Amino acid sequence: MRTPFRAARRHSLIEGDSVTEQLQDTARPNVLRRAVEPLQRGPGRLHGRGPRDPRKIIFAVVAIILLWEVAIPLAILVWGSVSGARPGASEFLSFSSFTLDNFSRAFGGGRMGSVFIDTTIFATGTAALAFVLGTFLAWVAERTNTPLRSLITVMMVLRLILPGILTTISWIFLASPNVGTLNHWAMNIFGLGEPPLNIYSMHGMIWVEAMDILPLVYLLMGAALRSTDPSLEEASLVSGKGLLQTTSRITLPLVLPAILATIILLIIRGIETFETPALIGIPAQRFTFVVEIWRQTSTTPTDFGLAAVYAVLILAFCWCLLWFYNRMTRHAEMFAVITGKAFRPRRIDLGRWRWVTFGATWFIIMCSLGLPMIILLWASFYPPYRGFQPISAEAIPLLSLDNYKAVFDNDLVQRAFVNSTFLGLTSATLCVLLVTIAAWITVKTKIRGRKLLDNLAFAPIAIPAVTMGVAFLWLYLTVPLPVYGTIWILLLLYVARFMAVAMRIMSASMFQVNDELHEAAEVSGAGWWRSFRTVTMPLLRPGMLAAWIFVLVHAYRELSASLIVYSYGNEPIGVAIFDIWENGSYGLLSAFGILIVLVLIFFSVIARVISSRYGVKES
Amino acid sequence: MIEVTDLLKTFAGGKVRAVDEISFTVPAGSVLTLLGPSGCGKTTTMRSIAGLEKPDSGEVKVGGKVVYSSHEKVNLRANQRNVGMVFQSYAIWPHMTVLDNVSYPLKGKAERATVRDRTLRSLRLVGLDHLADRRAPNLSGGQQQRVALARALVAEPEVLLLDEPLSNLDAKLRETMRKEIRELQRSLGITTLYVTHDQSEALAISDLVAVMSQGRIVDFGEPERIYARPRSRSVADFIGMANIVNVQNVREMDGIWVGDSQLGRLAFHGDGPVPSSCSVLIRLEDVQLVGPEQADNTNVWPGQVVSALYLGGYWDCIIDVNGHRLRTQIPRRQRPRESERVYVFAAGRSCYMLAEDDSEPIVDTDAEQHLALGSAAS
Repeated sequence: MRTPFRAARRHSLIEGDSVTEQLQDTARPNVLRRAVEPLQRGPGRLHGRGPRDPRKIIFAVVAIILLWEVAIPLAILVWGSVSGARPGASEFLSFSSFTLDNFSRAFGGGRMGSVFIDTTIFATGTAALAFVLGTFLAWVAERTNTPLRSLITVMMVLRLILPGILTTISWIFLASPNVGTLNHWAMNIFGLGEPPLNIYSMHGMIWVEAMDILPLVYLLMGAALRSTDPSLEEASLVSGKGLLQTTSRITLPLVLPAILATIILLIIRGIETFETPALIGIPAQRFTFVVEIWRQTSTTPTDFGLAAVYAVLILAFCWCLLWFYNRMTRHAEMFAVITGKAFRPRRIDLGRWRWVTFGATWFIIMCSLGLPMIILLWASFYPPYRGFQPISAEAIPLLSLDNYKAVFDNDLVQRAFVNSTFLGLTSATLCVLLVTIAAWITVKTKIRGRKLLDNLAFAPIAIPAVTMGVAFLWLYLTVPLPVYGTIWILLLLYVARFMAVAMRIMSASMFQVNDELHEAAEVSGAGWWRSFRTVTMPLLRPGMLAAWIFVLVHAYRELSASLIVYSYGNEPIGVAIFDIWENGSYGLLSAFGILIVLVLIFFSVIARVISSRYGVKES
Repeated sequence: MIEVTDLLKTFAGGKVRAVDEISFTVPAGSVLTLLGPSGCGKTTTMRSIAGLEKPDSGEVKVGGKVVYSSHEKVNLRANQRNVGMVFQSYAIWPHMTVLDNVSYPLKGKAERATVRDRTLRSLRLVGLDHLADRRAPNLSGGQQQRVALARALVAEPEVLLLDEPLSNLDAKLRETMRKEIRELQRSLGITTLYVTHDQSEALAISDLVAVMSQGRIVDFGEPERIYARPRSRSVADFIGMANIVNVQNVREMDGIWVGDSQLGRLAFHGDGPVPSSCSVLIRLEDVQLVGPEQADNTNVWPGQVVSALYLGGYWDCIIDVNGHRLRTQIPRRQRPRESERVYVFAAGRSCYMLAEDDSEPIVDTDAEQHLALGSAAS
């Protein structure tokens, strides 16, 4: 089983986006779990040690933490959507405050219709565009002899690390009607009277967001193409069917579940994303639910009830989609895809056409990664007192390091960096500790109720970030704990938000630690603690590291949930960038962004190096 | 020596009796194999002895020391039982070197200075001392197997437990390893319990074989006896390939039993009172082709070759005798041809009566007696 699939899996565990994990890890553990469970022999090592079994106490503690982090906030949120009282008001928790007023306001105002339509167009449009382009890249990389195809994965992984807010801003720099470099060039070269591109439109939103989720499609479809047994296609070719018929009657049906699952995930992403709808959608007067929620909680007059209704609605919608997704991937073992086995791919010799695919590939990569990074670099060197100007030869003498100097003098930037570093380190550590115990209970013990832990820890994967933010806002406005207005609410939020992927990573590595390895230690005379310390722990270490780095990197990138609950003084990096953007300090923002990107790349490289050195190879 | 008494282990809240009150003894210094199809309870029995599984009731003694007893409320943990075990997956810890793996059982037990010596000695036993510093994942299947064996033996345990140790190796390596394991066991004289579903492995490696089915021991004895005179029809079927013939109208003539079968008149051996009808086992290699001049002899029947597959060492033949298809192994030089008319002969001393499966097998698992009987017979 030591295969490219596994390798791809490992790096995506480290750098992957939450939804990548979701496909791979929901699809595979279903199969995996079914295969593993019958092998777990009876109550085994865990036979009764009486009611004072310490594991039951551990179980209870973890269960309470998870309930507090996931179930309680959602419950409060749902109640908030049907309560007439504001959070924190004394009558909020009494049944007398029940009202459908929030819902009637939401559906009665007339705004709901246009928000629904815009969200739908945005999410489906993004999904469609990203799917086509991403699948094309995956096909080029996996199935053709296009030159330099092996670089595509590197580029896509690099793209995955970039925070969405930076690439959204980059595209505004590139294609805004006033200062967009591309517009500027097009008008100069072709002598156009007016800018050809307008990023402030639904098309612009879809384009920018599609570029953002391209790597996700690439990784998912690449895995699907890679794990399709080429002999199934060869059998069709030998049976006398041509390439076209083979593709339409064999390849496509085999990959269909993966296609549908990917598209569903893309739509969920489109619904829950914040950066593009906020930065481009608001000026373009196209509003999605997520932006509406943010506006209702952050701009006066606030309407927490309405925000709760919207948050519950998109939550319900995402859960419906996830239900379809699970149905689609449940029978994954029926299809040749997603067997986890990697095959030698059957490459198509494209002949001269390979230069066409080469060109198209690098055009897409340029749009997704190259241009945004170039423009961001340019902006970071452009003098701060001159605003932002398009890239041009005349402006080159003006370039300076002033913005970088400003970064190190700016209070907000420094505060944000400290805050995010603190949040990243603590939430990663807490998250990994929590899910390691939870995964151990769900995978390696037979304690009744362990499924509850699994479900609770995995539920956040389908909770849109803003919904979670609003839920935490309601919860800590309601309970009399000194959490709201401090950095601790962000910490609790991050742990809840990133727990699902960490849980998937940890349970996958728990499954990999064969029970016999632990038993062999016991038979060799080691007690429970020694065998845990010398055998189980070292084997789990790569998984724990992967989960830790994942949470750390994503904590640095977090924006949409933080925006709902942060307060002055505890802004994380994402919020700070958003703030600087609104103040118009584009140079400062770009320099800060470049530094953040370097930090994130550094973390990912460290993770890669460590995991390749200490990663346990399967034999 | 391992003594197991009335061992019971149930799963699913008592609904599945994985090990159904079995008793047996592995005499000091010998190899006993638990043989049976998957799910027969053999691995559960071994795991109960190792302390990896808690039985419902019964008693287990290792080297005369009670390690589990429901009666005396004793249940030593796996690390207190002084056993060595080789797992089916070998369970070589992938994050350690070969040396670390093998020396693991010695840590905290042996003096620090002697650990390396003893580890290397154990590795030398399995011929791997030159690989001591290699990382465990960089070993071949056979090498991993040897490392697992070295690790199981390094602390000089009272008994050695082998859980399907050869099932992950390819056919050729399997034969080499089983010879090596047997030689190693002989030279060390360590009491060994071996679990396998492979009957030829069991026959080759054991002093005693316990055939298990549905949590019970259905036959127990020396390999030769189990093969030649299996206790019942299902045991005969499981051990080696067999022709099973129904015989009616059985009577005793001059110390040999004779009955009427579809093949014709059949002379055979049996124990106990003469039944009126029974099944008779004829092993494939006990069926020979004879010339027509022997046509009138006992247990010679005319037949016709239905098919003959050449397998290198012999022909795998199916011969139709009076409508009954008799499977045989014919020496390669005889070269039977399809639809050829032949005479087949099965010597009466190699045909043996089988008990029916529904009759409760009365299996005597007193090992001393079996070994004594075996040596008296030979």
